[in-house]
Amino acid sequence: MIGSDYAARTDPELIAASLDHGDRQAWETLILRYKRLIYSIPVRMGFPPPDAADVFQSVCLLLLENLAFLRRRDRLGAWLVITTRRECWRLARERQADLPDPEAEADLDRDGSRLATLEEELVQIERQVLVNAALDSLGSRCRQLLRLLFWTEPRPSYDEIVKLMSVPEGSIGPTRARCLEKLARILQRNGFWR
Amino acid sequence: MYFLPGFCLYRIERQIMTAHIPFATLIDYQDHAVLAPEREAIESHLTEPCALCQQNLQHASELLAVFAQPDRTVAPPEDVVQRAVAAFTIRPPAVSLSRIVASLLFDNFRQAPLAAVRGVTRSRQLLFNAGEIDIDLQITAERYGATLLGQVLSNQPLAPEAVPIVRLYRSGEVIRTAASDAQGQFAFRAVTAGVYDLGVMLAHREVVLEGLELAHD
Repeated sequence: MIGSDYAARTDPELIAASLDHGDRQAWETLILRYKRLIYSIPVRMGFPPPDAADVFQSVCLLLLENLAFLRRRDRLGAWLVITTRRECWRLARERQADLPDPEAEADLDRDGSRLATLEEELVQIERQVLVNAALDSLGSRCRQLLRLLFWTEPRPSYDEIVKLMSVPEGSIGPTRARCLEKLARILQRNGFWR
Repeated sequence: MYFLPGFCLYRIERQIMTAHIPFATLIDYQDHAVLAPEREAIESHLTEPCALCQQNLQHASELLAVFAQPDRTVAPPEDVVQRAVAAFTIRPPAVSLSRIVASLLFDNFRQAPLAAVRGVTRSRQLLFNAGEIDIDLQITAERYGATLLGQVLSNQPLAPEAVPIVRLYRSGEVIRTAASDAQGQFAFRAVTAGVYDLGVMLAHREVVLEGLELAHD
């Protein structure tokens, strides 16, 4: 688990630390923040795990090579989506055909609606990654509480949450309010709401 | 729906009368988890109008939309992540590295009669040297392109955080990049036919293997 100090930093701050001070932990934080975004795209496009890992590796290295030249450091997520998709198309072209998933390039070109669906899904994944990263940069109690309250299926009852977290019944409400405020501040800083 | 202890109406009304609406309250409002009198107080504040709270209400709505979908993200294997993290140690710097062309020490297509070799294997085995490192390459023609497997071998053990980055060039342009693993092994798969250079990036220089011919099966 990376230090909460690093996890709370914005992308431009982490990029600057990586470039200016050779700060390896800043780079690691960027990778951990966006690992799910980069890896999920080839997986959702139907590539098998070894190819998805190749795409992941290529994208991380391209990021490293382009870190100093990013025009919008505050839009790193968008840059990664575009770059990862390019790497996926490149790999698909090299394979020419036989992608295991029907969402292969040729199908996507012929079927606009499927392409639109994939586009929407990638946008959704990008937003989920930002929320995941923001949750990760909260303290463990906040993270656990908000996940239980909002992102667990089936949603546990109030009593179950009290038991799971071993907290007094009356503390959930104020803690929840504080955690949501913190989450909102982090999301604001990280460009979730544009 | 959650009705939270200590979340009394007086407090909410007081907050709304005297300040902006807390984000948690806006979440509840969007989630239809507030009672009618509270809802009226919130709506009254929003229609004052309060631009900030209207914007925060939109933010709450967008956040709830994310939470409404199951998490579709997939985490990569840990070793894949660690290789990407380790790549930072030998970051390709903005300044150009000194380039050293490696010497070819061994080529199985040249060592044995070509017909005999090609009759038994589609793999070409090459060994290059540049100072303290050797680079072992195996090139195999596959249906959808060539597979290039390699290993950087050093006289000195490579530090775990100092594994080389390898680049594949065509006409002087980087077309693929890979990080080698802790054993110095790397792979490029499904590479289209052509003549390539391979660059092995070390701390202060790049060792280049020139003119590698890759073909499809």
